[in-house]
Amino acid sequence: MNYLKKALRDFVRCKENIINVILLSILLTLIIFGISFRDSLLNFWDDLTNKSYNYRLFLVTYDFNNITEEEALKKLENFPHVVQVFNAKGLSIVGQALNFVDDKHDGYFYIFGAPEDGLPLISGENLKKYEDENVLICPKGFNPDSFASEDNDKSDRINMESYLGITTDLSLAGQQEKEQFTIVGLYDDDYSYSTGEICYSSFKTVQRLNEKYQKEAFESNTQEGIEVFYPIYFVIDDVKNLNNLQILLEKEGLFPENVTRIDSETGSQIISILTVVIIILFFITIIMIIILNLKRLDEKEKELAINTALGYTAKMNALFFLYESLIISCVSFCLALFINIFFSTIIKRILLKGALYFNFHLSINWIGCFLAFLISIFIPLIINLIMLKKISKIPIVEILKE
Amino acid sequence: MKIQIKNLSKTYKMKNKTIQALNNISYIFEGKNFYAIMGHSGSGKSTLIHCIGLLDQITEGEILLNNVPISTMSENEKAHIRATEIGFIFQSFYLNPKLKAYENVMLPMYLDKSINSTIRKSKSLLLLKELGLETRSEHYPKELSGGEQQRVAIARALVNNPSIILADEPTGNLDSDNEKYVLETLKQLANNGKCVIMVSHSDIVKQYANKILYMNNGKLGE
Repeated sequence: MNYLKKALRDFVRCKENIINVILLSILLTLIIFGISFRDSLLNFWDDLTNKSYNYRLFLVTYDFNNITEEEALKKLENFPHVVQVFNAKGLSIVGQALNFVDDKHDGYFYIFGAPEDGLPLISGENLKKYEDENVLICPKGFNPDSFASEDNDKSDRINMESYLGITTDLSLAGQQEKEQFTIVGLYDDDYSYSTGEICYSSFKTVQRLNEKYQKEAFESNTQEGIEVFYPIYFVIDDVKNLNNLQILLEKEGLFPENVTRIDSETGSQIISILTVVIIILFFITIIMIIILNLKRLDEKEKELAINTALGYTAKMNALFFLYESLIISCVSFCLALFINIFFSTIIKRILLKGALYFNFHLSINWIGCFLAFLISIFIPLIINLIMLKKISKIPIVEILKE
Repeated sequence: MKIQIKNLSKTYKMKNKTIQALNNISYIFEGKNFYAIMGHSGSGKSTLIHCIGLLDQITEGEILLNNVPISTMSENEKAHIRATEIGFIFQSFYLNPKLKAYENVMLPMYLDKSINSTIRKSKSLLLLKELGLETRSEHYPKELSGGEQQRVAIARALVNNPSIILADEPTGNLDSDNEKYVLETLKQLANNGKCVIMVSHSDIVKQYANKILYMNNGKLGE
């Protein structure tokens, strides 16, 4: 305790320690931030794939000569992690919302089949309660137009907030007959790759509509003389489980493919760069800690020599030195942590607000903090153990003669 | 209290040359005496004091403290002897610039875990008061004059109540008034039972020391 108190006092009174703390805390801040940012990015992608069912939707091809569609559907249902199975009829159908036809919109849009909780809603209800009913979950910015594209002005989209709960007439697959659909929920169109022209209903509803309005299109397996087979589809609970599932499926002659792929190339490039930067920072920090300690030992040589003359052993001197090193490390780490919390809050509130399409949560990674803490504590410990020999061999007489 | 030096020799190598710093010295230093070791530069005065203070390794011979050989002890045992039996005073004071006067005095007391911080502080303040520095105890070394700094160094040397005081030219950096003050203090310490061994160039020390020794080419003589 006495040693610790003395080390604490020496730390406070040594102005050089301020520079040491600043340098070390900058490096630790960068390490913590780098790891946190990397982890947040990975979480962001994981989160994205799990929130939006599009990334969890797979089509399955199989040998149509050996397995019938019914057999393939039955087989799929029994695999682990498969939460929903349906044939091509449940995928989508084109509708025309007659109430939304105006100068800028011809009313055409897609109705996609979706699992009951596969959409991140911003208001209204999900499809859980409406297993086979004429309900729609529409984008908040609705763009019912057959020429809808990313180039369209976003301000042309219809704000659907006031339409939530209303019932509208739809004609489906170009047929004259109309059906009434109720808009039960809204999703954030920024949260999907749609340009506002996609609404969702349950798979069963879409399947029923396809059977009713364009049955022939699916049942005929020859179109204009070419043999056509439709794949079947399934939704997985988590994309992380796909690899294991894929092995099992392929053994049964079922070959899954992503319907919507994430641009993992750009992502993995960013992650790789960040990883390299973090590793470099780790090495710089370790070298920095070594240099700081060696420099401090040089500065303290005379003090340690005097202490020896006063009766301190090499071990005691090393202990004083170590305590001060650890205090520098701890203070630097706390400062780095504080800076990270402060800046990540600022970045979250100011810089990232509206800068990305999706909700990017930059949060402090505690494993990163722990790693930064480890190197800030263990490196001085190891260096001090190595330096114990150097400290015990300080040329006291030569120093005292100077 | 008795320090016995038996056939003490010290050699060291410098640029492939072997230098004989101490040459077969035998002497007995006793308590209640103020020894002044005089001699020209390079005669081996400081080397002798460093060897007696267990800071420097000896090449041959033996040093005994109250008939116990101390020169062959382990480094930790030597450190314990330095902490409890020996007080050092240096020409350049060697105070820690980051510590206040009383904190510098407290430094050797950290080695005794039985002394708590209150006692450490009160003991160092008392010693500083005895040396006329009661108003300077909260000052840092840079705020003190040379004479004051040396008095702080004397207090630091005395704080663990050692039986031997080793002073290596303690007045070398002081004016005549402060020199007299320091010498008077050392004389008083010897009178109080301590064994004071001082290395000096100055002839004035002869007026205070009761034993004058001379070093020449590594040999000690009266």
